[in-house]
Amino acid sequence: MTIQFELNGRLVNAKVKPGTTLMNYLRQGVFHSVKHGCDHGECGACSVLINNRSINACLTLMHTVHGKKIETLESFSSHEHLHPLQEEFLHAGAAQCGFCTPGMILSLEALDREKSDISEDSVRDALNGNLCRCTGYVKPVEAGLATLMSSRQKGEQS
Amino acid sequence: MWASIEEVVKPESFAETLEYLHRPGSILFAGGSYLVAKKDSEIRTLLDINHLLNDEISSIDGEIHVGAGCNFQKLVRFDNTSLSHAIIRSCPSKNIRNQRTLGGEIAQFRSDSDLLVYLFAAQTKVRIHGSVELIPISDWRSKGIITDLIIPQDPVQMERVSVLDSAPAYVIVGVKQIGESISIAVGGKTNRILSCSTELRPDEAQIRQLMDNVKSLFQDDHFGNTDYKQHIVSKLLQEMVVVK
Repeated sequence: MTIQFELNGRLVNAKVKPGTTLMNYLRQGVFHSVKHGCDHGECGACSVLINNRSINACLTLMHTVHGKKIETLESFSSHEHLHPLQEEFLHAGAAQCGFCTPGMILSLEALDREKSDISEDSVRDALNGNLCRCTGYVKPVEAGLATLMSSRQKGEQS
Repeated sequence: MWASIEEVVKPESFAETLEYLHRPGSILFAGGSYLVAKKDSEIRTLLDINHLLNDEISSIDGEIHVGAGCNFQKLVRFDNTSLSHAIIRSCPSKNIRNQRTLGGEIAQFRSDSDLLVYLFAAQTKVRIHGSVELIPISDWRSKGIITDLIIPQDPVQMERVSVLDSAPAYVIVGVKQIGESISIAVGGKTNRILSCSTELRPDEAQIRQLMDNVKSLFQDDHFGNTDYKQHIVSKLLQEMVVVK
C-alpha cells in the first residue's frame, strides 16, 4: 500500500506492507531518535508528533498516518542550534543514558503546542508515557517546566 | 511490524463492515492501541472504521454526548471532573490517551479499567449501529458496533486498591447517588464488572445479597483471597456512602 504524509516538513510517498508500524518505517530510514524500546506502548521511547500530538510510533500502523503531519526530533535542531528544550535538558543535566530523552522532548513540545496551562502537574502528566529508569524524573520535570514557562512568558510578551 | 496483517479494509458503511466482520481473521480497528500492542497472529484483515466513527463531544442537559471514535485525551480536555480522573487512571500515558478511543475501550471490556467501572456506575447508555434506542452499557453483550455514548455528568465517587498507585487496581469501586438509591459498580481483577442499584439505606438482606455478588467476582490469587477482597469492597462502600 502507498501512504502519503508529511515527514519533518517534506512530503513523502511510502510503499509499505499493511502491518508496518510507523516505528519500523522510521527506524528503517535515518530517524534514529525514534527508539525501538518495548514495541507495545509501555515505554514511549518511540514517541513522535502526529498532527502536533505525542503518539507512540510502535502502536501506530502506517495506514493511519495517511495525510498527516509527522515530526521526529531530527526536525528540531541542527548541530549548531539546539531546540530550547534540548538546551535546557543539557543545562540541567536532565539526560543520563539518553534513550528516553527524544521521547521526553517531543512530549513536552506537544504540551507546549497545546497552549494549555503549564504547571508541574501538567508537565508530569505529559511525561507519564515516557519511562525513564535513570533520572527519577526530577531534572526532566524541572527542565521541562523551566522551558515551557519561559516559552509561555515570551508568547505573552510578544 | 504486525506480520500477519495481509489487508487493511476501509468499509464504506457500518453495514459493509459487519459483512466483512464475518470473514475469519477479521477485526475492527479504531484507535488500535490494544490491537497493535498485542499483534495477534490470527488476525489477517483490519477493518479500519475510524472514518465512520463520530468523535464529537457535547454537553446537553447534564449529559455528555460523545461519539465512540472520540479519543481519551479529547474527553479529558473537555471534562475535567471525576470522569477525567477515571480516564487518566485507566490510561496514565498521555501518548496512548491521544490514540485510544472510547469505543475501543468498551470493546476490550477490561474489568480492571477504571473508566469502564466509572461508565457502569454512571449508568452510561450506548447506541449500537442500526438501533435508534440507547441501551445501558451493562446490557451490551459485545455484539454490534457502538457508535455513541451518553454519559450522565453527575459525579461518580471512585475508589481503587492497587499494589502501586500507578498499577492497575485489583479492586475498583464506583458509586453514584440517584435520589434515594445508589448505583454501584465493582471491577478490578475480577471475572466481570458488577453493576447494580440499591437503596441508600439497604436492609441486611440486601447487603448480604450484594456481598454475595461481590464475592462471586473474585478468586484467590496473589493479591489476596476472596474474603479479603470482599471485605475491601464492603469497607469502601461503607466509607463512600457515609461520606455522601
